[in-house]
Amino acid sequence: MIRFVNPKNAVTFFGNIVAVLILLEVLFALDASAKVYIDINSPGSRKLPIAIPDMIAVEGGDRLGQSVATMREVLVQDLTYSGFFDILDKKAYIEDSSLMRLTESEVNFKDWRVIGADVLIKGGVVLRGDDLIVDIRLFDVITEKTILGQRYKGKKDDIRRIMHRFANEVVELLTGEKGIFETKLLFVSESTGNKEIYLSDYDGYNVKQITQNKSINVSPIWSPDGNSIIYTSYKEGQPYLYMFELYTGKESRISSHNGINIGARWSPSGKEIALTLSKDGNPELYILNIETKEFRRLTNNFGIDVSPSWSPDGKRIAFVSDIAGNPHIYMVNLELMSFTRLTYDGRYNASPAWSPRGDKIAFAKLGENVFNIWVMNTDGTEQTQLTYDLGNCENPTWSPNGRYVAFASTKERNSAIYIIRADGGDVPKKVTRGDRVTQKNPSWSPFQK
Amino acid sequence: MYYLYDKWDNIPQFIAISTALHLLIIFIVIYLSIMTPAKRFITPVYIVDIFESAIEKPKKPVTEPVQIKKTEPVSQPIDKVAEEPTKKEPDVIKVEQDKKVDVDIALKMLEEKIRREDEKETSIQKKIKELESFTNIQQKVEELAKKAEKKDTAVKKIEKKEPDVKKQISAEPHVKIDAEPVLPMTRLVGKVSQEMIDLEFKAYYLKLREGIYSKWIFPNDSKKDMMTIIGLKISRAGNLIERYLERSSGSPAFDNSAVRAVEKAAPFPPLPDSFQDEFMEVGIRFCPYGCTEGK
Repeated sequence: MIRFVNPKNAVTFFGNIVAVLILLEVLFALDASAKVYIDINSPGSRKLPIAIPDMIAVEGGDRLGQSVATMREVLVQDLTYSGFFDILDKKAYIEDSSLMRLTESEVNFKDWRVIGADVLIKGGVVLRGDDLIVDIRLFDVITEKTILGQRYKGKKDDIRRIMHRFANEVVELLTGEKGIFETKLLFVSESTGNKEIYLSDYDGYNVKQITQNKSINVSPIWSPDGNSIIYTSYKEGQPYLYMFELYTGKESRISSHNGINIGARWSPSGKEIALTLSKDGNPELYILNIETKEFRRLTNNFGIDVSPSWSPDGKRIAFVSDIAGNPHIYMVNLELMSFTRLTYDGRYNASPAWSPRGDKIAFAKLGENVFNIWVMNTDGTEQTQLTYDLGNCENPTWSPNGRYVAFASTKERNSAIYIIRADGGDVPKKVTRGDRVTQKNPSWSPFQK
Repeated sequence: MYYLYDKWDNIPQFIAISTALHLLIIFIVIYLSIMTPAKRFITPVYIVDIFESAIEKPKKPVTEPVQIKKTEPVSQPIDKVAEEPTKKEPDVIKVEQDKKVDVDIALKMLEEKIRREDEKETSIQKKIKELESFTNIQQKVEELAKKAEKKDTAVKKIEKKEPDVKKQISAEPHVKIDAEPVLPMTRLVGKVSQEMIDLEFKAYYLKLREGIYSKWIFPNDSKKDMMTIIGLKISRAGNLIERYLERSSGSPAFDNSAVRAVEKAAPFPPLPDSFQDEFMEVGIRFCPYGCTEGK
């Protein structure tokens, strides 16, 4: 009845288990292998085809007038400008534009799919008294779903702002990147005969004058939170540094040393300001701690050190120095206090601007009698010219998403502000509106909350 | 013993002791038998065969279940596996008849692909290499087809050949079309048809890929390390039965672009004739700059 262990049988028993396991594995492998994966890469540079029919005046159309057309214009401008969209020609639209089809259940998506649209924007507007209500929706034509539906309320004058905001949301939902259409530009204008500081939308509309002291006001710059600006003004006789809070209108003097207090740039943390002071003789770079109001000297040489620009991590500052004879761009590492020279070519390199992505520095370089905007890596390599045949191009400033550079150009009689794609793949677009206006020294705001 | 006799009248107690002793013995017996697998307790003969063959002929473990099945069924799956070869016999012939068309399609696809790559000015050498490897396969298939036509015996021999299941076991479930095709859909069929089915399926996957790629639009070039997997169920006629988000990239914008691409590309070409099931399940992996594992 009981057998002694036969080595062969013992092997056999465990072999059984192994064999069953192997079989199970075989069956499992067969089942799992039923699915094949196919890789698809590089969606390429194709743009997303979007249809934007005219907005529909649901109520108060007679008083809205041109505003209805403006709504579409702003959307088309912003989305075109983002570089992500191919806005389909209105002439190709099949749907009767007089039909008030504004919701998912009303829209006939086949009408839009057949003309090649992937996404569709439809909106209606109501004007009651001075109150404006905009209902606007973004549809996925392919899956026939509403991606975004928004209702904005405001006054009649808010129409551009409302459309900018919707364009921002469209870009973010379809590309995953924040839109820049609500960002603003600070600049200096001499339109009144004095150099005053102004503010406008990123597209040059909605200009507002900030300083009105009939003196000389220069180098406006944004705080990292977008709530305040700092600038240098001669309104008290000397070039002192002032801060202006945009939402409260509060103004304060923050640096009033003997000599110059110029070229200030806010640190990314918002706690410090780098600037040039000449209180100790020749112009040197300092860092001002806003809370303690203490100044820390950065450079100490016989040259002129100006135009600081912080890296996004706040650990380095690029600046201009003529210590080697001609003005060139240098970099200081604030932790190690080590200095590196970045540019060697050219007779005059000026106004460095560190990109928000941290990988590039834009600057103005004097070529054959004119300045042009260039972009380089943060170690000075891969210098690429961005502007051509636009007269003197100076004072580059980056859009907060790092895709665009704004600058002042003297292509026409008066200096004007232009925007160009930072990779150069675009025609520069003039932002300044009107030929008789002078605008220079732009500063692009951070993202607006 | 006397004590026991003396208490003879106490029968229940005696039975209890006796039972306990018996139980102990039975337990020991069972225990030993488990440790020493005598045939009596864990017999099945057929299992012994599997194992011995696996040890003695480790290179063809798959053939054994087929033989074993006749003695006694171990479980349903083994039966199923064992029956596969007979089921597939007509397919073997069918595929051979279709093979020229398949090769032509596959070649056309490849030529198209190469033309596109030319425009993009990518490496010329890579293309030549691909072409060469493909013509090699074509030649090989033609040779094999000739043999098959001339000699019926050859075909029979092929059919009799032991199914190469081991190849399937090792088949990678993640197949990249760019790489050497390893096609899991081909089951227990001969080596000749295996190659042709490979071609047929490669051509089909290429069609799928090109169809979806041509519809995919995601304009934001700054987004890189992302992967979205869309699972598809495709009917025999090529209709999209079902699609689902198998893996999200974390970016709804990117996920939705992939969904739109699939929806726009549907319906797809009909499934290859050699495909057996009612629908094919495929995963499409969308990546901006190449799909690498772990992203």
